[in-house]
Amino acid sequence: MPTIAFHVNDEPREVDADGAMPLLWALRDLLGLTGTKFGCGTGDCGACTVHVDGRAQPSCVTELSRVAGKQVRTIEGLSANGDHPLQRAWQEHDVPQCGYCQAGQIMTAAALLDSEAEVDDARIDQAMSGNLCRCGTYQRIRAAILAAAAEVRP
Amino acid sequence: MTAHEDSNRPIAIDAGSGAHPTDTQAAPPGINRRTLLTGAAGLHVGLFIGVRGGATFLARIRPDGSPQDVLAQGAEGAMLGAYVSVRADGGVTIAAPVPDIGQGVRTSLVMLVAEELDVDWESVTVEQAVAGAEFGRQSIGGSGTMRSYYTPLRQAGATGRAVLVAEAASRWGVEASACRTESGRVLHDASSRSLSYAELAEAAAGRPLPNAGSVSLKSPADFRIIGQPIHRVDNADVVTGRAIYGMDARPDNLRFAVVARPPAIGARLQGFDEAAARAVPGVLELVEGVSGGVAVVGETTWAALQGRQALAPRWDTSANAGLGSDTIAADLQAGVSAPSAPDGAATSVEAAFDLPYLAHATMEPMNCTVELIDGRAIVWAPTQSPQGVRRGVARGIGIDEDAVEVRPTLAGGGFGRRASTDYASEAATVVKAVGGAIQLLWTRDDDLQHDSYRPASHHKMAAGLDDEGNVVGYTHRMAISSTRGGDDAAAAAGRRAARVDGTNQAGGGGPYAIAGYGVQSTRVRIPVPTFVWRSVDHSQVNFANEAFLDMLAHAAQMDPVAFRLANLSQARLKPLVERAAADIGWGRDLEAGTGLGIACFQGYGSYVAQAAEVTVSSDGVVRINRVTCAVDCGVAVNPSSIRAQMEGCVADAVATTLRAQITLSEGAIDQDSFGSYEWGRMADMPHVEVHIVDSTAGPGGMGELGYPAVSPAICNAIFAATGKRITRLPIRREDLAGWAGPDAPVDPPPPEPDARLFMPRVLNEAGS
Repeated sequence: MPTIAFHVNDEPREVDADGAMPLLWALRDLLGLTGTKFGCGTGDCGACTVHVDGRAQPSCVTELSRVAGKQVRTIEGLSANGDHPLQRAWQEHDVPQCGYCQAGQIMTAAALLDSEAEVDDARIDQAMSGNLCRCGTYQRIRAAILAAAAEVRP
Repeated sequence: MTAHEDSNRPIAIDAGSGAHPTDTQAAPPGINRRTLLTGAAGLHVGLFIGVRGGATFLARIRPDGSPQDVLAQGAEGAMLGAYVSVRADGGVTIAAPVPDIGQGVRTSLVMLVAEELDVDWESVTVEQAVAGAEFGRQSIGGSGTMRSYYTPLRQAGATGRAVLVAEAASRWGVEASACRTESGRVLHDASSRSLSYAELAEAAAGRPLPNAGSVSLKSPADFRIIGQPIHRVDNADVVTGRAIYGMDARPDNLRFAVVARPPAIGARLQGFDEAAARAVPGVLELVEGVSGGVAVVGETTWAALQGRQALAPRWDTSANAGLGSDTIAADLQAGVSAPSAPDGAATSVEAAFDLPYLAHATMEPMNCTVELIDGRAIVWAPTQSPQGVRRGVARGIGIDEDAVEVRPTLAGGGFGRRASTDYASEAATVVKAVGGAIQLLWTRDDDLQHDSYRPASHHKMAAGLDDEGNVVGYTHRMAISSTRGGDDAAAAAGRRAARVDGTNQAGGGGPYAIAGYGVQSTRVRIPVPTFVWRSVDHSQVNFANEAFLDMLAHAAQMDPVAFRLANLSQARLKPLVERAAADIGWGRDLEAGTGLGIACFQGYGSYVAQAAEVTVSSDGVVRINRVTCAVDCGVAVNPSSIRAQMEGCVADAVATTLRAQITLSEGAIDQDSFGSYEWGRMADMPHVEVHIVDSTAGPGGMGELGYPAVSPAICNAIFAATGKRITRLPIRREDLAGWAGPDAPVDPPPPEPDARLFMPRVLNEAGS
């Protein structure tokens, strides 16, 4: 097995694994970071979304070999104290029902807000289209993103 | 939050302060008698307060005591219990007796105890109860949790309060009735004395407990917690990735298992490439005979998945090779004969409706983690049935239930799926074969192709109208897919037979004063496994009824809202229909291509009316703009949670109206991913507005209430917009063929709204 080195939440990590192993399973089964969730394994639901060099992508279809030397950020590392504007807005809008998809929703939304100062309903529809919520929390997700966006807007 | 030192470490959530456990590798939540007695440093006193059937039943756990009295009397299924402990720091820990699958009971049930105990919500910590007879029936489903627990958990809290008051009164030498409580303190105003619960708890635990039926409960006017939109206690953990779901259980030396499953219903394993599977790096074991397939155990989930791929099993799929959606549709259509409208009716209306199989597709796929140590098993399961999991695992391993401890984790959705315990039994089979700790996971294709589905159904309807638009006869015959056949009419005397596979719930009758209104259900034997799905067969029955009523309204040349109000006999529904209609702006001028529809539903002890605004483009794309919901669920324990359930039901209904369905070809399920089983996305979500009627009636169910009326409201709105009647779901583009777009005349034109009815925009908030 090759050793693959990358950064996770600003910490250097190494794993001995098949380079074809999806990043998701390396995070969960090798590094013990279970905040990133398995939903489909085909990149259709977004529950496993992480940031790779700042871009949101589904970790279930991201091969480990592709993240060598890169910066991976998971929900556990989004903020030091769980106080990212989106994490606060999610609580203030009481977004979660079962909560299982929410880490992926937040990571996608965080990448959106990192890249764009202004978001509106149409942009949210588009940016969040890869994240499925089976409980139907979309209305609250939208409200939370808009609230957080208003807060971070320069 | 205090961590326990052993493997029973529970995770507690501080409800108010946002404090949380920091050990992300801790075992999932769970308390048991041992941890109650010995575990938490600072545990001041543990009271186990049981209430049986709403009557007297009390017991306690003391440092020197065991709960034999609880177990002796606590026949499973009869007793509901609560565990409350008061800590030295004044904080209060309350156990959630049943699992949370997203419906919010870890918050709302605990609110009931906290309210009557009279503590500040901010001082409450929630722990999850393990499976055990002392907690009574812990399975969740049928929207029954709040209805079952509302009184017993309030009594439990009030009982705790009563002994704390009794202790304080005794110390002060005053009458208990001269004392009051507030924010976790007992106060004697006459002497300006007060004591905290923490100061009283240890001695209070030694006092005789009053009869639960004798303790007084708060008047609703005095509620400080019940009725507040209190946020989920798990939110802080969810948004930081610390929340522990089934898949996040991480006992030491955990190995991971997936199962190669039959690719078609009834397919039989003929062989597989064992050598190739074992050659995959990280593959550890193969176990045959797991649900007709082969389990592959690996060092990681990925190794197990690669091993399953390499296994290349060969199957005999001939058993149901002729089974497909076309044959099923034909069987269902042949399953019931068409009723005829009553003789002498001035107008006859007939219709048929078809609804598909649906998968549950919880976001967290089925999984179960079992650790086998010295003949004892610890189980982490996202489940709707902790005690069912306990039975299934005990049976699967071949040990006594007493040797199985089930710790319900948070569950990534349920919708009925997790009332089955098949996945836990599979994990038990594997761990029995290979020992140690195993996490068995279903992949998404496993989940979609091996579910027990919401049954497909076919409905034949007929009704008559007299000259004045009165309904003079109504017949609704439903053929519903079941692995067991049989006519529900034969089971009319006893519902048991009709519900044998859990797919039937709706019976005759309903909220309308229409003779014959309801459903006659016939189960057609089809070998596709079926089971309960959010709102069970109300999801089908109410669609057909409410769409058909819309047809009757138009045939009677009456406004659909006015028609419902004229025919409803259920007094609690009428103001809801009025409210939902008012909120959607019923009767206003609309752009061409946009229409409004309404439907209503009663069930699970609750009532709802929902109105939809829908726009259909010239190329047949349906966009659901808004859905207004007027809800009467009795006392609204947690309005934020009630709204969430409504939003979720609307989202489900949008998905199943527009896209989602399970189909079959040659005995196999066609859908294998969220690419082919298309659920609703952000852009599909209409704006949902929820009005909750102010009520002090006992609580009704909420988890399923919001689903059955939405699809008919949407389809009725499509008719208003286009003149096209949707008679099957999901909607196909061709079902709107002939709709030439917003510029085309609508045929027939929708009737003019009744100006006398529409509508003060704000109705009486009390819903009277």
